[in-house]
Amino acid sequence: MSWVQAISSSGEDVFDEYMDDMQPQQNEWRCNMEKRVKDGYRDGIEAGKESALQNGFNQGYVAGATSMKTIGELKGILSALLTWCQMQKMDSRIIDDLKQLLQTAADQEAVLLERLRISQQETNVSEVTDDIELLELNAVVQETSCGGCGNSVEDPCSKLDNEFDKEHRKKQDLFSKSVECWTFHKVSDSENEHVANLLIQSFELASALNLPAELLQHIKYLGTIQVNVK
Amino acid sequence: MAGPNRSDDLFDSILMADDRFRGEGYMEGFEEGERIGIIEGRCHGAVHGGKVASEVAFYYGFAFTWKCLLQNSTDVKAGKRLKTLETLIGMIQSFSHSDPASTTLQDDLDKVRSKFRQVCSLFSIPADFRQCFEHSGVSF
Repeated sequence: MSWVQAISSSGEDVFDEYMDDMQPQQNEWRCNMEKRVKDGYRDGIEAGKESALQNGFNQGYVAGATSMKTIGELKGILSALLTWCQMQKMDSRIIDDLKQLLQTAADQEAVLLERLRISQQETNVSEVTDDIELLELNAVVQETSCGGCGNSVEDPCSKLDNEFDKEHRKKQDLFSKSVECWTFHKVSDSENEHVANLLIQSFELASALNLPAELLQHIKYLGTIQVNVK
Repeated sequence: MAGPNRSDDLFDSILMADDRFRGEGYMEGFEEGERIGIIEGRCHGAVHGGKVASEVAFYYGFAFTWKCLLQNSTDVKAGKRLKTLETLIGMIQSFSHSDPASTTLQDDLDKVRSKFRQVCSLFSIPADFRQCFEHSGVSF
């Protein structure tokens, strides 16, 4: 410590009798000051965190809200159609198709939420955490894509869906081989594609039911926004 | 009075060094804390914002679809139902997601939820159906 050296070389008698004790005292001093730095650091982290949390929350909130609107709205549309069809006592096949679509949309919503949780940390978490979270996401994606292809046998979109699933599996293989940052964007693209596909399927179903043009128009509009997200 | 002065200086140095080292650590910690705070905040905010937006958008999709389905209905109940749906749609259209720190956000959300509950009872939505979408992330 420079000031300790300055004092010890000042030649004052009063310090001479302590000269032999200087080494342990210096060590103690250094130890104390290191403790001060650590204390300060700890307090600083707390204060810094507190000052930035709200700002970060606001940023994340707006981003999260924007990316979840469409899937939420689609779930609402499908739920309304399901209640309507049930009240009209429609063919149980239509009702089953609607239930399946709604379930797939709900699963997709969970995947998107999980993606949000991860993507906000994207650039900053350690590789180990990346690894674990990607594996978790991978598991969710796998579940959902299996649920998604269950109803595609008699669906007009089945070809598209199969291609999509093939593409999806390719990407999953990619995941297990690599945890590089850019794979997040691949996930993001394929998730948006999945929502867009759900919208197409919902549109086909609503068209088959001869629903009002205003509603069909609206579903189409949601599809256009979704495509533009890509 | 050299003695007491020097002694004051000495104590000053000790005290100042104490503060200086603490301050240096604090500054460094503050920067790191800000970085962590932004990440943590964003993460929580994204999930929270996503959930709220998805829930409110769900109500919108539901109300909009029913409005379209009922528009040309001759049912006697249709008038009252349409009016309630339009009120709900209006509430959601003025619902803002841009300021999560807004003091009215929770109130507005509660109002939208209670209006949606009213819609459900007006449409006699069966309880098992409500359970179906409550499980998928919509909470009352």
